[in-house]
Amino acid sequence: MDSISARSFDVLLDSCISAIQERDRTVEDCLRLHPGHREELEPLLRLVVHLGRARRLEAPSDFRQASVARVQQLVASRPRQSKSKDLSSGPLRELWRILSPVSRSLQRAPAAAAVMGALVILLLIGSGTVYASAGALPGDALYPVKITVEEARLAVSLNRVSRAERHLAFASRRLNEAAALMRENRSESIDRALSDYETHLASAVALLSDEGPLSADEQAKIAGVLAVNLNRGYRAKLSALLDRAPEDIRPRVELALTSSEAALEKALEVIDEPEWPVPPPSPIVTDTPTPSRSPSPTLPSEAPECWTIVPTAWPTSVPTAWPTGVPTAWPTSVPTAWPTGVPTAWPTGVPTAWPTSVPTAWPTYAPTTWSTEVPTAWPTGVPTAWPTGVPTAWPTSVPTAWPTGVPTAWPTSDPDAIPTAPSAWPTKPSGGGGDPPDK
Amino acid sequence: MPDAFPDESGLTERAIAGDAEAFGELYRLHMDAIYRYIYFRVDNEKDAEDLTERVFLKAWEALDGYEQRGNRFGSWLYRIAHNVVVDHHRRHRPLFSTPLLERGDWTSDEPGALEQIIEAEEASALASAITNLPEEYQQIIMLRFVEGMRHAEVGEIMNKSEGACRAMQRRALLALHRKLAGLREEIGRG
Repeated sequence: MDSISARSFDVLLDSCISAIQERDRTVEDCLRLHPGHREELEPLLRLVVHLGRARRLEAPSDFRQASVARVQQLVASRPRQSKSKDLSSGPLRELWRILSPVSRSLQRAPAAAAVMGALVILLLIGSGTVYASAGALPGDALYPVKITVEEARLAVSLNRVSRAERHLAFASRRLNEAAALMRENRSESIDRALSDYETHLASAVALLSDEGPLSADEQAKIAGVLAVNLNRGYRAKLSALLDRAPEDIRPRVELALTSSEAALEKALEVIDEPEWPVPPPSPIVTDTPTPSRSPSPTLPSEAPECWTIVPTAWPTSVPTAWPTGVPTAWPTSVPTAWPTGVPTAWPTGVPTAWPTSVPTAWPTYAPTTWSTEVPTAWPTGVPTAWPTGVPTAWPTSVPTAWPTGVPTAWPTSDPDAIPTAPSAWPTKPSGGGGDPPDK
Repeated sequence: MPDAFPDESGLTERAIAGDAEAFGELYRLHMDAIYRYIYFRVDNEKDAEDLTERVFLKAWEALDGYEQRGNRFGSWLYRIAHNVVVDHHRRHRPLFSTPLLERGDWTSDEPGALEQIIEAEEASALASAITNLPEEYQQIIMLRFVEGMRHAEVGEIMNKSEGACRAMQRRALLALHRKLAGLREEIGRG
C-alpha cells in the first residue's frame, strides 16, 4: 500500500466489497480493475467471499421447533406488562422453561418424575437460584442446582442425537469447570468435575449402542459429533489441563485423557462399520493437530468391554514437594471470604442501549393533573358526513326526551340573520308637512 | 430504513401490545440470524442455542424500550445479542481458546454426514478465529460480511459512523486473515 494512503485503500476495498456483495461481481473482476493492488486486495476479497458462505449456517432444526414453542409458551405465560417481582417473574422464568416440557414428558417417561420432583424443590429455594447457579463450580453451594437443571434438560431431549449432543455439551462444561477449579487452586474438587466429564462421555457413547431403533444416519451423527469433539476440543483441553496440573492431580487428568481416547475408539469403530452410509471421516482425525506439549496417553491394547476405564490402584503416597518449574506464576492472592448469602431477586430487564448524550436541560414544569379515566371502548362506527351548516343558537334547556323522528328537510334561510337595510326610505307624503323622521 | 421482512412492523406492533403469537413469529423470522451471530462468537452450538433464547426473552422484557427508540427490530436484536455474548464471555471466560467443534445445520443441498462434519469443521475453524478477535472486529465481521449489511446499518448497531465502519472493516479483515493463516499453519504442523 505504498502508492496510496490507507484511506484511499479503504475506499477501494469498500467499492470492491460492495461490487461482490451487491452486484454479483467476482474477486477476479475486481482484481482486473485494480491490477496494481492485486496483492493487497486478493486475500481480503477471498476472505469476504468465504465469510459470505457462513450465512448458510442456520439454527439446528430440532432446536428451532422446540425453542419457538418454548419461547412462545413462556412469553404467553409471562405478560410483559407485569413488572412485579413476585414468584412468577425474573429468574424463575428460566425454571419454567425447564419445567413445562418436563411435565409433558412425565407421561411418557416415568423416570423423569425424579427430575420433576427435584425441580419442584428448586421452586421452593427461591428466586434467582437457577441463574446464580450457572457459574457454580463443584463444591459450591449452588452446584447441585446447576446439575439438576442439566439433568432436566437431558430428560426433555427430543431424540437420541440431541441427547448425545447435550451430554457432550455438559462434558465440555465439566472440563471448563476443572480448569476454573485449577485456576482457583481448588484441586480437591477437580476429581468430581473430571468424573462427571467421564460420565457424560460414557452416556454419549452408550447412546450408540442403546437398545431400541437407531437409524444408521442417527448413529453416524452421534459417532461423528463424538469423534470431532473428542479429537479436537476435549483432547486439547485435557492436554492444556495436564500442562498446568500440580503433580497430585496429573494422574487424574491422564486418566480422563485415557477415557477420552477409549471413547474416541468406540466412535471410530462405529464410523468404520460397513453400514456407515458415507466414507469414514478419517482425514479429519488425522488432520487434527494433536497437542504436542503433553505425552499422549497409551491406549489399552484391547478395547475394554465397557469403555469407561476404572483405575485398579490409586497412589498410596502423597507427593512431598510441589513442582518448582511450571507454572511460573499464579494469582498472588486468594479470596479470604465468600459471599454468604444468595441474592433473592435479579433484575428482570437489561438495558439494551445507553444514552449517548447528557441532557442539557430539565423540564421546567410538571403536569398538575393526570387523567383519571381511561376509555374502555372505542367507537364502533365512522361518521359518513360532516354538518354542512353552522349552529346559530344553543339550546337553552336540556331535552328530556330524544326526538323520535328524522327531519325530512333543512331550513333554507338563517333565522337569526340581521335584516338588511331597506333599499329606499319612504318618500314624504305629498300633502303633509313637518319634520322628516330621525335617522 | 425498510423492514427486513414485509410484515415485521405489524408483528412488532402486535408484540408490543402483548401478543405472544406475534412475538413467536418474530422469533421465527430472526432466529437464524441471531443464532449465527452468536454461534460464530461463542464457538459452541449448545451455548449458541441457550444464548439465542436468552436474547429473545430479554427482547420480550425490553420491548417497551424498542418502541421508544423506533429503530429496526433486527438491529435492536443484534444489540441485545452483543450484550448477551459479552456477558457470557465475562461469566465463562475459558482457560483455553481451543475450538470446540460442534455441528451446525448447513442448508446446502442436504449434505451427507461426512460433508456435514467437514463443513462443521470449517465453521468451527472460522468461529475459532473470529472468537479470538477483539469484540468490535467480531461484530463488524459478522454484520458486514456474514450478514452482508451496509455500513449504515452496521453503524446503527455498533453506534459508529459509516466512515469509522469502513475503516474498521479493513483492519478486521486483516486480523481475521492472520488468525486463519495461523490456524492453517498449526494444522499443517499437526
